[in-house]
Amino acid sequence: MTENPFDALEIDPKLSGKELTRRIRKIIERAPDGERAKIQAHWQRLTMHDDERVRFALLAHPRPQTADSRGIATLAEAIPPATSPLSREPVVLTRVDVIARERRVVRLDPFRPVFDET
Amino acid sequence: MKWWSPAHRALLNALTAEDIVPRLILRLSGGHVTATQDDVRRLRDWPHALKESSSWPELIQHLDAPQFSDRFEAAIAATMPDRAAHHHALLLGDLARRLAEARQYDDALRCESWSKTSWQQIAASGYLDRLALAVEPSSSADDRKRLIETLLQPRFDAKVAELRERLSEPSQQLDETALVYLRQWFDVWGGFDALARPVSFVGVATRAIGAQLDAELQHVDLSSADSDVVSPFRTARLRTKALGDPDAVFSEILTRMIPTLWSLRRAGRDETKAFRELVDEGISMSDALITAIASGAALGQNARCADLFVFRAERERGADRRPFLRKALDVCPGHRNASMLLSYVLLHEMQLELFNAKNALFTAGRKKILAKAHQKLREAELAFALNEDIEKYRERFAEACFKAGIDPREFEHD
Repeated sequence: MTENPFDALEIDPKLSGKELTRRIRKIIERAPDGERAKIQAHWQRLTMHDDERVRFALLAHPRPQTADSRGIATLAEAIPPATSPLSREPVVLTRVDVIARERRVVRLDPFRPVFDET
Repeated sequence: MKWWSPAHRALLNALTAEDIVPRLILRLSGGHVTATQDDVRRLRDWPHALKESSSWPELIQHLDAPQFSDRFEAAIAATMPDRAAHHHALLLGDLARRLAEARQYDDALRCESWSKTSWQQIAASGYLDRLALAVEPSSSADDRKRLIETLLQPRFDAKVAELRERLSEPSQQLDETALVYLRQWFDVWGGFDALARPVSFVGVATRAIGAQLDAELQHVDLSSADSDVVSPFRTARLRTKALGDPDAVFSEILTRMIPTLWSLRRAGRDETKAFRELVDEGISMSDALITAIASGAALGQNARCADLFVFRAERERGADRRPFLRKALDVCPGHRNASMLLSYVLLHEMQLELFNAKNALFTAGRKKILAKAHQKLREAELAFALNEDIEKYRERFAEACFKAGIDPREFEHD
């Protein structure tokens, strides 16, 4: 049984013709030599007739952007390093703090909070 | 930066799919299909789509329970989000194919049925049309309608081809279990016309068996005593049995069997074992066909059924022919050969009564026997008025009456 090209290439069927070609070109560029002919055959089946492309789309599993088909390790690497927003901006103490202490700028460390000294 | 980015969502979906998809596939396939890595990758969106269903908490809670399939069936019957139903329509169709290849036919049929429910849902909700429009925004409503109406046609055509192929296998290789599965497959999809032209299973089976029978009969020389004329019909009968004995197929077989029997009779082979076996094969189908004729489900086969009973009657002698001839006339009133043969049987019985009358000791008894003989004569005339022997037998009856000293006219008004 011939696989549905959208399923085989793991492409969202709702992509426009232009986006589709761009995505497939990217896939071909990254594919090993032996795979390229197969990918090109899929691309031809998708772009030969509009009717056929729609038929393949209706017979392909829905594939929204969140269903990224890359490996789990790759997906994990794609996540930017987690940084605390608290550490990014200097925090200016309020007037209440100022009453308690001398006016100064404190860079808060979430793991080392400033305790009130009694 | 946002804390919960699309990259996080993609990773979570991938991890959820790794965990859930193999378990779901195993459950839905009755434990017969192990998910491949391709399945898991292809179905990354499936758990996410399922989570949008109100049934999800219950499904995930009972995912590893034996009754999971009952809950799943109830969930898809109560409507799923369209995207999840689209996954189900495709995945369950694929699982059904894999299960049928592994000859797990019960589970395959259950998946087919779920797949059909899901296709029905997304065809009726307009989801397929919306998706087609999203894929090709310049498409016209008519084009989309035409495309959707034949979306599953290749799948139906493939099943028709498979049925034809299986029915053309030689009798020794006939896979009855696979044929029963195919019949049930067509039962599951019967009347579904939203995504393909409906196919009549009986229509396909009837034409396939008829064509196969024609092809096999071409190699049979009816004039040769060595030719095996019974086997093609016996194989056709075997195929019909696996298909649930549809009346239409019986009808198709009889359409070929009766002319074959007439050809054998003309070739003087009507007292052979083959002729008898062929008639018996035909008779074994006739009861169901007669019921179908009576209910109006089968048309135009009355005379063929009657022919069979006439052939069967010919094997008997005297009064033993009567039940078969009566059956022939019941199914086809006025059937010429049955009427004629019955008329002769009655004349023969009348002749026996005349012998009995001759040997009777008392006049009263003789008169009673002659009355019976007269009754037979009248029935013979009623059965087939054109019987040229009737006049001869009437004379014999008059002669017997004369010898007994009884006026034949006494019986006229009985």
